[in-house]
Amino acid sequence: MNKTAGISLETVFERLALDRIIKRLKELDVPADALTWHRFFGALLLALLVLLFLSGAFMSFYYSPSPGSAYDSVDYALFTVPFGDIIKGIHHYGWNLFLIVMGLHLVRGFWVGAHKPPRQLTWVSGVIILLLIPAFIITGDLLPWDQKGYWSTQVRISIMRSVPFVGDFMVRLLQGGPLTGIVALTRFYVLHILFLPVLLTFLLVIHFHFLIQRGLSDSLSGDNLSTKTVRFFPVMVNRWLILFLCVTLVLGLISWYWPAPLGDPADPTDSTYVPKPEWWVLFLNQLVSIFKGPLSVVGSVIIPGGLVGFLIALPFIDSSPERHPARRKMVMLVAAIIAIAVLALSIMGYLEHHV
Amino acid sequence: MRKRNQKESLHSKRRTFIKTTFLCSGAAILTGFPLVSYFIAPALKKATGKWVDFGAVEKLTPGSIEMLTYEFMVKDGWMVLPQRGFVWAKINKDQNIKVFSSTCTHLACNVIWQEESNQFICPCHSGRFDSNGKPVAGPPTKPLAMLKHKIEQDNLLVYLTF
Amino acid sequence: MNTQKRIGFIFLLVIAFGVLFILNSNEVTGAAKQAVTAAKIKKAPTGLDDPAWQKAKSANVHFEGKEKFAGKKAAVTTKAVYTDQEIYFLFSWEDTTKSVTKGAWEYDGQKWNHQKGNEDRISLLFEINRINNFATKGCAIVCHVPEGAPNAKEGKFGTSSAAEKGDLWHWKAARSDPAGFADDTWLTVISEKKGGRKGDAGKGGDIKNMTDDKSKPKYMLAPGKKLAKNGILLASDSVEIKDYSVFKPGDTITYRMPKMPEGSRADIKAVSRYANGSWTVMLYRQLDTGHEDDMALNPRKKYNFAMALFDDSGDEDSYDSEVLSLQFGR
Repeated sequence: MNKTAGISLETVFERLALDRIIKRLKELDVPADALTWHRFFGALLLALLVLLFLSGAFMSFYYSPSPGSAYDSVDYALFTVPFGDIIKGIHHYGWNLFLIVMGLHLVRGFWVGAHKPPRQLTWVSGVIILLLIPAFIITGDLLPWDQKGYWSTQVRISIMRSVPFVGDFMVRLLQGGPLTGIVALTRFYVLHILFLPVLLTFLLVIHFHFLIQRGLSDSLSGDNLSTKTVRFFPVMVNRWLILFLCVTLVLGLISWYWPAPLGDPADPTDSTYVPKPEWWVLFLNQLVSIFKGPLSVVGSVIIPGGLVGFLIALPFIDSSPERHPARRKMVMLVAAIIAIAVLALSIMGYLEHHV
Repeated sequence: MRKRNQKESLHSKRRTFIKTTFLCSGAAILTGFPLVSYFIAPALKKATGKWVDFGAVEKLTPGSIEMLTYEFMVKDGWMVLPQRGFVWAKINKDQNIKVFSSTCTHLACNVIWQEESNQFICPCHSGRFDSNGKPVAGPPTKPLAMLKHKIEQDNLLVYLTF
Repeated sequence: MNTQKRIGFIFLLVIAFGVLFILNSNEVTGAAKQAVTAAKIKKAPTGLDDPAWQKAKSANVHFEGKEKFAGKKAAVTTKAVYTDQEIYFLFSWEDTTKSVTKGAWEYDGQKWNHQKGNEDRISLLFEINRINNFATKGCAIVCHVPEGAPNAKEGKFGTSSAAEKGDLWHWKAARSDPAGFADDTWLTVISEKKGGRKGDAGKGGDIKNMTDDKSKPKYMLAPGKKLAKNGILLASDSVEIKDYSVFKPGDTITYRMPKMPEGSRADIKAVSRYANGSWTVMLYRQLDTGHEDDMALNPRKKYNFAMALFDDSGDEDSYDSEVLSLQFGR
């Protein structure tokens, strides 16, 4: 039996039965290639996710999910509670940045062929996480019960309702009835802060599982970097922490200078309010406006659906072991066309709705 | 004990698998059924409607299109809340009234009557409807929903569903 | 990680943040609402012509006539500046007639009569506690409400519930301005008999200068005192009239004598000038008075407010603005 005087960190870990895990972590080596700059998008996403979870969890201390008081509770948290503007700002700018970095993460993965065997499922799990993000945005947007959130929700709901056969049921299921009222708000709230984060965490575990099991993709240059290794702890962990500190600081400062926006309280009778599509959905919105009449299903279902299908099926379409972009001309061309189309549609939408 | 162990070892792998699967599905059904019902119950409720009184017909100007706003109390779940909105009434010269929903058939923005162009316009995606609610420009393909209405004791009543 | 790649990473992040701003910049504006942006200044403006006012962008606010003025229009050039402590508004509007009479007494040699004429006024309405839909509908929700609304009452106004509270700044050319103030009042739920307008805590308002039989004025200028601006007699400068024989035909005496306000009612100070057919009025107040009957202004926030203009009017005959947004520059 150890006496108290003899207690060291090791013995504490041993008591906690953590010693083996700690030992493994300490001795974990990762390829030196993991220090390449473009491999840090994932770590940046993780840092942002931690910030989003933290800021979101703390904002819920001051949130009251009822149409009569939601707006005032958000206003109170934003302007009366100390650091309220920073915490809401980090959440607001955080999710916008999260989406952007996710795009970069995806493009990078595609560029270096991170979806190639044996890492197909790392890619697929990542795409599924990407598809989950709009659910967060849709449920989160309504919570402040401001004009923008309310009217954007009305538009999204009617898009959902236009889905043949099941649309109306889906809307009722999501809202807990035909109205966007207290039942809907409570549902959106619980989905946003409980069910979706749990699902996201679960998907993230799967993403990491494949990442750990299948390893990082080899460096494109194929030089000897991949044979060199660095210790995960402390080399990688410290870099991640630096990244976390930087992103927290930057988002905090942004939130201080430009407080997160909060519009006017929702007024369902206000016919003058026109919700503007947000930047990430501009290209879809533009697609919907381009295809009119009987072709509308092309813009609203077929093309977006095809895009999702393409992303998920990519590892199986582009399955040759060749990873260098210069030697995957065909698939690079297709991807470039898609990227240019998305960008062009987004710019068109931006000019139409925001200028 | 020994006898039992022997007996257990006799079980084939398949039987253990079936047994576990059976128990699993039992657990899933037992917990899942009430939980899922709990979640979807409100979605199964049928839509209800209500005749809303918009006041005296005389007040409406013949040959015009007027915005009629409404506000009434609706029970949403456990809370009674005011439900507000508006509809468009087209009053023909011969006192024949048509009532249009203000919801754009494209993506549910509110349409606004524009006197100058003699059209309903949807500001969201620039959809346009003529004075009979037919789509004339932009993405909408379906006409504006026509609402049931009646006149009782000289008051205009419109049937609104929600 | 060599330098070039570091630069690449930083570059990408900068782009990401840049995109973030462009896309978020006009996210919540939605419906076009006119904004009055208060410019941040170090030294408080000392008057109507202080150079500090040049720092503020002026907003030309349009007003629609209501009740008696229905169909008519008016416009007020509005500016605002703020210091760490106070907010200053500057309003100027054309008004061909300077109205400060407010029923003053005039002696015709036989008896005392009330002169014809009312007064010019401007008022601002803010929210202390949220007034439902004030942000989108403004004065249409409290001041000139449609028939059938819960707070509809002929000639009176107020909110629909006690939880909704407004802060009403009321500058009156005859009854508050000569004392150097705007009347600081607040708005609450309308009741069976009365409107929802209440004076802030403290003293203020005006005294009706008349004898008990309402036939003649009761007070006159005290010896050694001078009439205040626009020839108005302040209550504090008045003495009871002992001898009515000193008055000659054509003499006038103020009917509504402004009281020097005290307490929370004295929060809004006013400076004004009428020249060349237009009024210029400066109103200023602490950003946060700490009083329950005032809304506190936080320069990080945006506020909704509405204005009304009264031209020689004693009641609800007014010109109303749409709801406006008060924002604070840095």
